[in-house]
Amino acid sequence: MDTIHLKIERPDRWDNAFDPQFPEREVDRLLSYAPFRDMHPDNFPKKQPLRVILQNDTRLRHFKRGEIVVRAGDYGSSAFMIIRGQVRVVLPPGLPERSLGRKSTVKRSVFHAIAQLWSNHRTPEVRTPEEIRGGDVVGEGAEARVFLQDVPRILDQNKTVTIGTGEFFGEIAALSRMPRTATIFADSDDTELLEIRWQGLRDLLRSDPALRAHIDAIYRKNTLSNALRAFPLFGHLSDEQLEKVKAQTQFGTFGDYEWSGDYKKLAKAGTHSPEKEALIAQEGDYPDGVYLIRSGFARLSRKFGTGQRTLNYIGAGRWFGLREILHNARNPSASIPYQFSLRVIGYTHTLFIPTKVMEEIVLPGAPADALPRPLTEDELDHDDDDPLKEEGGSALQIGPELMEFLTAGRYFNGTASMVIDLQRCTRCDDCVRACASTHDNNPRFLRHGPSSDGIQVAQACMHCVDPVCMIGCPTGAIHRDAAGGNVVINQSTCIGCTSCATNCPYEAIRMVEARDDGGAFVTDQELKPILKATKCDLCIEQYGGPACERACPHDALKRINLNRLDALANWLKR
Amino acid sequence: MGYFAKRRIIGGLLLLAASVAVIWGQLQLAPVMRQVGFLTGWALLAACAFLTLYNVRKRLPFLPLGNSRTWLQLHAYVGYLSFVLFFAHTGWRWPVGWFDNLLALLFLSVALSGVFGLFWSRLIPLRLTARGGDVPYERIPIVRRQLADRAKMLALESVTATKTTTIVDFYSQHLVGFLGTSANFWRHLVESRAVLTRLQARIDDLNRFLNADQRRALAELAEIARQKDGLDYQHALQLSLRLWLFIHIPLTYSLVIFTVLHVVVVFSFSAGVPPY
Amino acid sequence: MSDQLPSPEFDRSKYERPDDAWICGHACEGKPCRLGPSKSGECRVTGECKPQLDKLPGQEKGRWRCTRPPAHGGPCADGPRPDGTCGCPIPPCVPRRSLRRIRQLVSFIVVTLTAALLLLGIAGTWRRQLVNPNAVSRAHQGAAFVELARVRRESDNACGACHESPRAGLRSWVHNALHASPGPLSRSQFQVLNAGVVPMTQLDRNACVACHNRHEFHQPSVVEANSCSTCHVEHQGLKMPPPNDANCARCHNEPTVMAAASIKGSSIPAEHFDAPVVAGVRAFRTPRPAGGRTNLITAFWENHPNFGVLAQGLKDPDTLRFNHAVHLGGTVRLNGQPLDCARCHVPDATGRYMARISYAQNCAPCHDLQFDPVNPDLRVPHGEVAAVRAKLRGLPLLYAELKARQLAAAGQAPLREKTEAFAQENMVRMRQTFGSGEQLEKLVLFTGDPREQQPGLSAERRAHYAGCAYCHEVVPSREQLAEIRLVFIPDRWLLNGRFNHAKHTQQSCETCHQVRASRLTADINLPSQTVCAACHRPEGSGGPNCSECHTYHLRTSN
Repeated sequence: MDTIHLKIERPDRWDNAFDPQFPEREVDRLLSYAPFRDMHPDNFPKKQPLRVILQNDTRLRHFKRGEIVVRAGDYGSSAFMIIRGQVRVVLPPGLPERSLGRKSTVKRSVFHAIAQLWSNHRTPEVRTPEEIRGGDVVGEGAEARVFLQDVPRILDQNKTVTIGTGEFFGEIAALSRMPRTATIFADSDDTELLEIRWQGLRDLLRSDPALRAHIDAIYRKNTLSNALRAFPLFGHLSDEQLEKVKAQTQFGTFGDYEWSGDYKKLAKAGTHSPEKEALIAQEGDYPDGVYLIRSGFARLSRKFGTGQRTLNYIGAGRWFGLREILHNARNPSASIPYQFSLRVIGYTHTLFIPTKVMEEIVLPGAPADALPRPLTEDELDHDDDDPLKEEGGSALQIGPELMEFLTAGRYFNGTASMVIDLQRCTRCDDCVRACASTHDNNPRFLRHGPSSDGIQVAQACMHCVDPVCMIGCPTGAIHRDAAGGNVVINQSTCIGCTSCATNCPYEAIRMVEARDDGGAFVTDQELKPILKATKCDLCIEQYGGPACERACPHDALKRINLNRLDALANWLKR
Repeated sequence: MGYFAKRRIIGGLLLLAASVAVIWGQLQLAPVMRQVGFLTGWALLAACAFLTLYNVRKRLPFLPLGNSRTWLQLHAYVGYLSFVLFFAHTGWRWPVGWFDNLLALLFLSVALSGVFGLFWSRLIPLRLTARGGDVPYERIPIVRRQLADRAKMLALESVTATKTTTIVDFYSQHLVGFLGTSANFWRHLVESRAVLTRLQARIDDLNRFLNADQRRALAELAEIARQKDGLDYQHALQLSLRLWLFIHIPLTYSLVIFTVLHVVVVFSFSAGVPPY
Repeated sequence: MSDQLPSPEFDRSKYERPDDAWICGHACEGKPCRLGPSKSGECRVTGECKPQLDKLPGQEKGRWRCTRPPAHGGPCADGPRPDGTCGCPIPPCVPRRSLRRIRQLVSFIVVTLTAALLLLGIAGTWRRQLVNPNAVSRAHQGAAFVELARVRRESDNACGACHESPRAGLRSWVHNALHASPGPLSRSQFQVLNAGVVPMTQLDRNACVACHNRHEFHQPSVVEANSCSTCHVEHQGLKMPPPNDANCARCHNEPTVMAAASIKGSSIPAEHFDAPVVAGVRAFRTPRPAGGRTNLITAFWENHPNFGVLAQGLKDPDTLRFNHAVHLGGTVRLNGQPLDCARCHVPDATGRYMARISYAQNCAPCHDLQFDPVNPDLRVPHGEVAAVRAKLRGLPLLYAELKARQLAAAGQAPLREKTEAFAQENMVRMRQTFGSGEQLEKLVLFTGDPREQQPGLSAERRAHYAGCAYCHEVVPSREQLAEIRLVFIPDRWLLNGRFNHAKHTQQSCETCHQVRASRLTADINLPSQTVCAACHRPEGSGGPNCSECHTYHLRTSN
């Protein structure tokens, strides 16, 4: 088997259909198209027959010419199959940000920066008519879309590729939880697309070898080379050797794509524990390969008492099991098992390279600086209280309590988490005021949040590595800034659907009711307030970086990348 | 050595060096300058202007004017240095005239309130964190109201559930006032828990006379009282962290006015009468 | 940490806005409204929603619909009232200022009060007391200065005598400040005054010099006027502090200045440099040295020249014969006790200087001018030669009076025959011993050592029977037989400095005055500069500063 698929059973697997009104006759119609026509119903488990998957995990969507289907840089949990018509893939360099419903970030001029002193509104959440109108958005809620204007000109100015009926697109981004690599828009007025959400795609792949082989081939062709080359360990391999490694590499997705909702429930119930998380590799097992984390996070833990103690979490670009394999390769007579367990946190996408490949192709000739330090006798003689320093890293410096807090709260996701040292914070709210001053007098975070050991993670956007908030934004209003990769929201195209705020597991996005200059709420014709999603944008329009951090007089607040704990450990050591 | 320790040592040494330089310079220059007061005066004015600029920096968070933490460090150390400059300027004695007296009093009020503020700002967060129950200051009334409402509901429910008024009597006698408003500001400042302890003793005393249902209700009320006391603690300490600025900042403006007039008076009266 | 409280639950769906000026009045009740107060702090909410009228085509009345958003509870159960108003009205509140706004208000009030207070103070009649940093010295106070201020500036207070600003208003102050010299923007205010003359400031030129005629009151040889206010700082209390040493050294340690002064001084008559002396004080004037007093002086203890009277090797010109060594040697006793300095040298009323030596106070107890060893009660007067001679010529009468006093003392009647017989008897004896009356007069006036006439006289008694010439210089005179040279004991030896004996009582007299070896009147027993500098140096117990002894002004030493 080339592809590993593990899953956590969702108790409400079929409770929320992708399209609750999906008609039976449409399912019948779908079953008449390839590749569903060619799928063998017997290959599907009884609990998850093909028909039910199609009925619950897919929906049909119709697009007119120029309507954007997916945008480059977006995170999406679904793949598309073209039922009718055709779509165009815009090849690099791609379309300008503005035409994708995004806002291109421009630093304010010095005058405009100073002008905030008097030009900021004194009433909360004032929006300009342009911001309220909503740009080129049509439709409402999840059905809202952005139209590309002047398609002929776009075709003139950009290289595009047409994809026709029966083709899949968007599946790799959905499965590997990587951003969409290209913008795709409908090229004909009657384009009909089948959108398959991640869960359905996963189940289809698991039960249908043909589709799996198809997707697998695409993944190997388009993505794997780059993914492996990103690891220094494979830098020395020739193209031929790399092909061999690629052929043996298995990719796996673990956990729940929409983990944030699940996590929120678990966290609220207070039942979160490492033992309940899906196991990727277990301590004490024979090390049959190396796991490379491609995206998401995994927890490194060891037995402690009757439970598991978290030593560290590892994210994209890091490996698991390499030291053990290296040790075994050098000491064949004294082989050792995995020294830790690796468990999924939320969602993890891994590449698995078998030991044999490692020993025969990768390790010989591997540059010394790409290899970890070999395991020493002392390290192998460790007792439970003396975890390996290499794997523990900075986590050992911050202490088990805080480590558990950060992992349980899944704060490792943040690249710019707002961490507050409560023992120095005078609660003066200078950070909040600075934030408000730089955002038209509107704060963009709440100086409050869970805390442990005197360290608080405030409810400010952490600019996650894995921005679950971006999944499902119908207009692309929430997006990564092209320049710095920060997650920002374009107020003009935000339609107030609340999907980002609901998705965010850290309560960092707040919906606000837009007001006019006089302070009155702006409403639609039904007198419903116009909502806008708001959050920290790391002051990307301002000079000098996040105003909150710069405004803290007491060295109590810092925006820290928690993907790795070095920065936090250093900060705590002050 | 941690960053803070290093920063304190370096800052302290720099301050010491600067103070020695000021004192030495003043002693050296006083005999050979026409009026060393001009030099110390302008130096003090420059120090005060720099200290006042911190307020301006705070109002301009959107400009890259340096981190507030760096500013505060400089603010504190230049503040300490301004003490030395001040006494160097007055000739190491207390001024005599009315205006000068007021000016000196203002300066010392601002400076000493600043020293207190810094001390307080270092002390109180430790206490707040140790006690827990953190809540943003502006939300305190809302949380207080929630607690009060919950307590009221519990008390009223106990009447229908137990058919007695024991709990509601206790509630109305001992809890209504306590839950209704922020209380015990000074007690919390000095870390006294006497009020909560007394209330707890009353609750324990009442507990002996109650049945299981009533005890459950009373236990919940006791928990609410504990939370309310914690909320009062937060209120008192967070308020105190804001109140010292009510002295430091307004008097700073006053000091600025006095200082400007002082400079005008000094130069204006140095001119003399033209020959007649 | 066991009793650490958890954070209370609260609605976290909204941002905290600590910068807002106004807070909904219902916030303190825990239920702030959705809309919030206006910019100017007015409550503007009436209900929880603004109902909408749904009217189907053809319908006349329609139906009011609640539009409360889901985030605030969604449509209410009862719905809007029939008249279209909200069914959940919110009672109007009185919005409260936020804590920050209150602080701004306090700041505003404090600033206003400060400005008002200062304006009141400046505008009021007590402006002078308000801005005066300290009292001016006594010398610059008084009615004369009030008058001066009136004449000069039409000012109603004495400040106007020197300053331009007191009468004018704030605008004028600012103007004067900007045009002051040195001004607030001029670098000269920080000028380090290395050596030489400091130029005069505007205040010096305008105020000081108007009364003080430049620097002639220091020394006539001052070439260029130095800034007054650099050395003499006013508004330091009733006593103006003395100039510091650096101020003195700036000229007195500067060769060019001293050389110029020396040249200028050479063309000025020496008496112009004489220090004035208070009437009645006997001063010893040391001649002005060649080149004047222009030695370069860094500090008193380092290179201050010895006092002129000693440096020039001058002698005490007095004619009175006095031997300090004999008087303090232990042989001379009074009432059985040896003499010490304090027997004769006692402080004057101020304690600063010693009281003048007088015959009656200091000499008479021993030198009581007896002339008849048989009748020691008889004495000649101290004073004029004529008086002595008159006394001796009336000798028979003196004896008769003496006898009468003796009889009266013994309780007998002073019978004439007895007194005359006594006088006769003694006159005979005197003639036999001393010869004629004229001879007696000569003996009394010219005898330097009584042992010449009375060989058996004891040492103790010798002083009592000494003639005038014992102490005085007596020369023969045609008119009065003898003339006694005038005695001159100076009250002050050092006129350019001042001294205070009272401040030196910790020291014995002989620490400074080496008098036990002094046998001659010509010895000037003043301590040298070296003796003074033993204490008057930075590490010594005496003040090292110039101003300890000197005043800037060329003025009387007492």
